[in-house]
Amino acid sequence: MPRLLCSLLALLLCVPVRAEIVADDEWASEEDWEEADWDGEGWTEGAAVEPAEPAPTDPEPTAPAEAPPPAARDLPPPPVPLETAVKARRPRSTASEARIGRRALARANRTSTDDLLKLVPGVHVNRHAAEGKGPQLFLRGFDAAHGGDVELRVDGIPLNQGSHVHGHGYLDLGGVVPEAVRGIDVKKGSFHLDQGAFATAGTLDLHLGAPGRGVEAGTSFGSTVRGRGHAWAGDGDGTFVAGEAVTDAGFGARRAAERGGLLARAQHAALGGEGFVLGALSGARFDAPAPVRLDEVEAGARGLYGSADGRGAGDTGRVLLGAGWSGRVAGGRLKSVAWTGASTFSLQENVTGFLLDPEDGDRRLQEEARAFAGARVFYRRPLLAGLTLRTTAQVSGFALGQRQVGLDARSTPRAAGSERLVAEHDAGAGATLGWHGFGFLYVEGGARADALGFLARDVRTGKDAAAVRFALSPCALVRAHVTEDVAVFAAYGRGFRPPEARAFLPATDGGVEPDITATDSAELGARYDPSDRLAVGGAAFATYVDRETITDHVSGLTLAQNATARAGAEGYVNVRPLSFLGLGADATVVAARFVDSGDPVPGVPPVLARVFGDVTLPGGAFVSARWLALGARPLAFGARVEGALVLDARAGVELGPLVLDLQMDNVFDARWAQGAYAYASRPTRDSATSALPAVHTSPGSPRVLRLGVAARF
Amino acid sequence: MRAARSLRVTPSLVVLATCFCGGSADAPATERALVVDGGRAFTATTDLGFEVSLDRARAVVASVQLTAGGETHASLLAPLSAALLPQAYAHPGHEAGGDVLGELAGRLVIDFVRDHGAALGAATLLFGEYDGANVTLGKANADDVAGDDPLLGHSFELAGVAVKDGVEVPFVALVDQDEGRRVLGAPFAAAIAEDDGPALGLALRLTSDDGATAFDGIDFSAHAPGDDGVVVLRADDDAGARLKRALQRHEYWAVNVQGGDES
Repeated sequence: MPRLLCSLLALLLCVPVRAEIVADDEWASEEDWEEADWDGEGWTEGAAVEPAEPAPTDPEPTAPAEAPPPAARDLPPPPVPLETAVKARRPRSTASEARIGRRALARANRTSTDDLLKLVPGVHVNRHAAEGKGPQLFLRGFDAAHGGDVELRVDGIPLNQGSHVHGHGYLDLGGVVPEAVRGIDVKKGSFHLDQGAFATAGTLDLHLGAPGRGVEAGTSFGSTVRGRGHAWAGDGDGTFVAGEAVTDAGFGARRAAERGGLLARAQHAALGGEGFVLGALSGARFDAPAPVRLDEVEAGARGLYGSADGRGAGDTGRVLLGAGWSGRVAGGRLKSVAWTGASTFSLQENVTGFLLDPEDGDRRLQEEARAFAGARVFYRRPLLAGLTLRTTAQVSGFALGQRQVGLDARSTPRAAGSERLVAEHDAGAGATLGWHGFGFLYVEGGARADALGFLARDVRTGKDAAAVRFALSPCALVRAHVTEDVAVFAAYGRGFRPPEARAFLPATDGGVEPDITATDSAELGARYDPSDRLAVGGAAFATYVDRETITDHVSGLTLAQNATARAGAEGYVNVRPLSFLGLGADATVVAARFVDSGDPVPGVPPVLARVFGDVTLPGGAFVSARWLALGARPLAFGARVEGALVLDARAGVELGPLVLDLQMDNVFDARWAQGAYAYASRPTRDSATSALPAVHTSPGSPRVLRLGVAARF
Repeated sequence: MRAARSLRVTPSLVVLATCFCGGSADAPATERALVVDGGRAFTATTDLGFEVSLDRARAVVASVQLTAGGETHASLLAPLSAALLPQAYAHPGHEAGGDVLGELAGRLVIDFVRDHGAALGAATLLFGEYDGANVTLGKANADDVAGDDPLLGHSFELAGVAVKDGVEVPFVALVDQDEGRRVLGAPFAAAIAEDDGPALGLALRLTSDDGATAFDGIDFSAHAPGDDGVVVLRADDDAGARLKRALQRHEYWAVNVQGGDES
């Protein structure tokens, strides 16, 4: 339709028109974000940008300096070159692909960037420690733990930390100041060429941008004895500096945190394209409560917001540098990003009490320091009419030293423990061919191959190990526009998760050979996007994992899990019936089970639904609310934890240069288990000794209030 | 006793319908009586040709744990229970791995020869498919046995006769194990899915499935008998050490379903 309008306009005006219309297939990967007409004002899922004002089409022709020759006077004036920019909503590549814009991000309750992930449909976030420690994520039937199944990138820089001492693929969003996140691209499944390691459930791309044009400084206070200061200065586009500092006593026991972050980004035209450099610095000290036994809570022996461990705590630090460039090269579009950095992690925790050591307890210390670097290139080039080539290449690696040791009652390291040096490298490349046909059909297919190298040394024994593993990840997707507003999708893809490097250094014999975990996913769906005011869509998905290898952090053995299958469906609707009123809802249902036994994958919520809305009041004030419905979750061994209904609300108003903001988490003060596990523990020396698993919970926040004020210039 | 509930998977629609209903609950469990399984002849022929018969086989057991392999396994060559227990991943409870799902806690002094069928207590078992058992050994203390009991200070008392070439050698073996020494992966196969069921029996075996015996390598005739004509095999000699190592191995232990069939 946009092309037709442009052509008609040009014909009528007899002027050349340059229509900046991006081809339908150009949303297939993340680089298109920069080209987007997306101004960050849309809401979750399918929101469309208000069409931009078209450029003037009939400028006054300029009068000639001198009278033309008589013959020339009879000629019509020479055509004046015009440029007409036509912006249109770009179609997605899969039914589940989503974009969360700045307005949704700015109106959501948040204490840190971790909370922004809660806006992703179908994602459940469990923060079982204070701010600063990475959260646990669930998506599409996967318990991704700290990031083992969800790839997360910031401006194209992958943040998953493979072989992390605390959890494989550990994600730390420290330094990503939430005000600087202008949007989140969501790619569920592993259907896209640019998705790499840990994208077995999907990929989340966080895009940074100046929170605004000008300067803002603000502070907020919360009912958890929370204080936060933040400031930013930006050009309204991609250049900004932002910082935050937080201290929070937290709700309940052992949830205090102090953290700070500084994020700077500069974007400018370069070499015919656009480049950016960014730097992020962060540090955090956080408490780590141990999950409480449900039977102790029910017996009144411990509060829901208590902690079975009175000394759990940790700290992290990171410096991250990145640079990127995108532009037109050889008839195509190239996007590149490179990164380097270093991070540290330390955690002292005891989640099992006195189960293993009835005298000194089961406290352990985990420490790690790593350096990392990498680079990635993505190139898209139209070939023949209707054909588009996409290629990608990536090299990345890290080196780390890590230690895990038990601590006695005086927190003195015990003799036993593990200490390792690890280096890993990943080199990957791939290509797809996309084809537009018949005016409504788009088909793309290809594959990516990764070679992963592992080097590990057990410092205590001097034992070395080296290995190479390969991953082949085919992908294919089909999109068909049934009508202008309705599109149907089909996709298949393979994701992969590398094994941990420590898996190649077994402490004892008996484990299985460490190997790549590969997941095969498929999706069918449809979207209906008739206007800026309505978006509806849904998808059915399935994922099969033939065999996962996981590393038990106690024995050091690599273990194999039986095959799992996940199948589910998700749907969403976003509607803006009035210019000031936005409503939406999304729901995901999934069955995640072990194939042979039929037993559920522990911890995965079978139902996750949200209803949200926001009202923009006169003067720019707003009120927003988000209602989360979390289904009862099956746990290991047949245990279960109850579901939850939680309402968050937020309101904000601008009074001249002042911005006032009020957030209330858990409006009805529901008592709910944000995370739950089934395992054996012995909370105190006097507790009965039992090796039988019991339900433990990490609670969701009670009702908490935060009031913020900022000055914006 | 925990509330009983079937572990079997319900159809997804039913799961969906009940997804917001009901509270949290620990895993369903039941109790089973644990008895002494001594209903076998305690005889064995060793690799050195001795026919060993026991008329006393006493052991100090600190606890019995029953395990299920779950969805996680190490390799065909090594039982998972030998490696993992107790579970403690980065976040315990994530994985449906091999774990202790049943237990009988409490110190026991068991005479496997003379106390066949005697009740040891009620073991708590979660519903599940079991494939192993662990036995924690101890040393008899003054609370366990009388002051003049020969087992006092020891983990095992095995007494009987070893016969070779018509020569009988009465013997007593006093075997010491470290307090808390665990025997991992003793065979136990049962599917526990309901409240009522047959008792389980804890058995000490002299002969393993591959024909080896706990007394292999012990030359009874090389030991001088005492004044009473009884050879005493002590922990600090080679024979005692062999017995000590043998009795740490899961091949000489078992938990069996008594009478009924819960496979």
